[in-house]
Amino acid sequence: MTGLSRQFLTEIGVDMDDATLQAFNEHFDDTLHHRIIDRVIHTVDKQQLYQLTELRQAESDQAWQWLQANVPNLGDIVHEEVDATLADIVRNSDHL
Amino acid sequence: MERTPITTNTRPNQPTSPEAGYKEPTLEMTAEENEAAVWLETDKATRHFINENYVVPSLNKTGEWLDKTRNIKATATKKALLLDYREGRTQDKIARLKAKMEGLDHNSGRYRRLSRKIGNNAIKLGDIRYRSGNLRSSIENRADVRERINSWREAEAYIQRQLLLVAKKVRHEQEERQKLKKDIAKATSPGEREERKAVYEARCKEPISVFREKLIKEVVRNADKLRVERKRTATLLAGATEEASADTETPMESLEEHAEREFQEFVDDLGTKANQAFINEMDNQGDVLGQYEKQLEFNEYLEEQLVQASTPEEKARWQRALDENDKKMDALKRVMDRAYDTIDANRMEDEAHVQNDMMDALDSQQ
Repeated sequence: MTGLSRQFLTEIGVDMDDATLQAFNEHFDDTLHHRIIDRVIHTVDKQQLYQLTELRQAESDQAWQWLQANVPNLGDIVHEEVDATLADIVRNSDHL
Repeated sequence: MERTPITTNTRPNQPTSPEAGYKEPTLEMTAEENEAAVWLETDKATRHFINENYVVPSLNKTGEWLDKTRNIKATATKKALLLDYREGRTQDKIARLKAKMEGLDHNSGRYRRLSRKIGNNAIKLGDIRYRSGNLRSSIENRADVRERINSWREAEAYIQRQLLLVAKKVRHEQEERQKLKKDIAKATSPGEREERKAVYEARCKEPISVFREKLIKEVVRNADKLRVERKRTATLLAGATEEASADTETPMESLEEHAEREFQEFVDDLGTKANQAFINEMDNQGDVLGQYEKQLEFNEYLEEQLVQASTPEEKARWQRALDENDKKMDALKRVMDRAYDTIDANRMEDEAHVQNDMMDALDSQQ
């Protein structure tokens, strides 16, 4: 699981105990991953989607290799989604 | 401590370079896309790969990200401080000019020149104070507008929940109708068959599309209430914009028009767009529901075979087949649930887009 450091949260004025921080980071990790995958799926074309579906049906465990080969801008996508998610957190930091 | 999920804005509004091959997300995900997304999301190796190679390095740079954000936020404060500095400097200048005038003949040329300079500086001082006041009142109005935006968000969340409920009600109705249809085939006598057929026909008298439309209309009525609240906030924003327009060099007129247009488009679309997205989703659902029904029939067949199996080996074989089929049915159910979630996510995306534009408009006032 990836997560935000306590230092980052402190800098945006959010203070939480260890248990809450862990739950928050789990939620952050899930949300971020969900956003990244949605973007990836919207980025690929029909043929690539078909390949992916084939992999799935073959119960292959090589999805990450397919990602590496078929989504050359994965780094940009992740970077943008991280930025957007951080912005959401800062924007809503008053409610955390 | 109040807990709010991160997912207030579900979709990013930042541009991605066209060279990067980014395709603007469409309103609906197809069943295949949903399935692929569900699979990728649950695949541990994929998650690990993305996290290790991309997410962790990005998160290691949160410090830089914060600095960049702070610089933008600091602009408004810097501007206010600059106005304060200019106000103080002009006051000093007036004081110095007044000191120079002391003891001079009121009819002398020097006295008149100094008087004129003081007058000009007094006008300048008035202008600075006016602009400074506007900037501060604009900042105060921002807080008020933000509060109102939060109230929309609550109203919109309510409407989104209603839309989701509509989708669930329609799905339930479809399932009920399918059950009644199957009951006809299971009838043990012609009389019972006729009776069940009548029940089925009575239930299906109203096409599912009409059933859905009725529910949607109810949601659109609630959207109208939201329209009123949005207009009130738009008026408030227009007031804040007008006050701030004397202060900044931003073309406030077009900014105001832009914000107003965004509101109007969003509100006008609320009924039709939501309806269309919903219809698209339901079309996808129709396909998935069809597959689900086939699996259900297959399940019945497997259960019959299991009952009829005479040896433990045969029983085990049919049980394995049943378990496999159960997995497939669960996957289809997840796809259907995910489609409903997509409706919700898309509503949130629209809301986030309008809200972000509002925030950008407000930020640029500073």
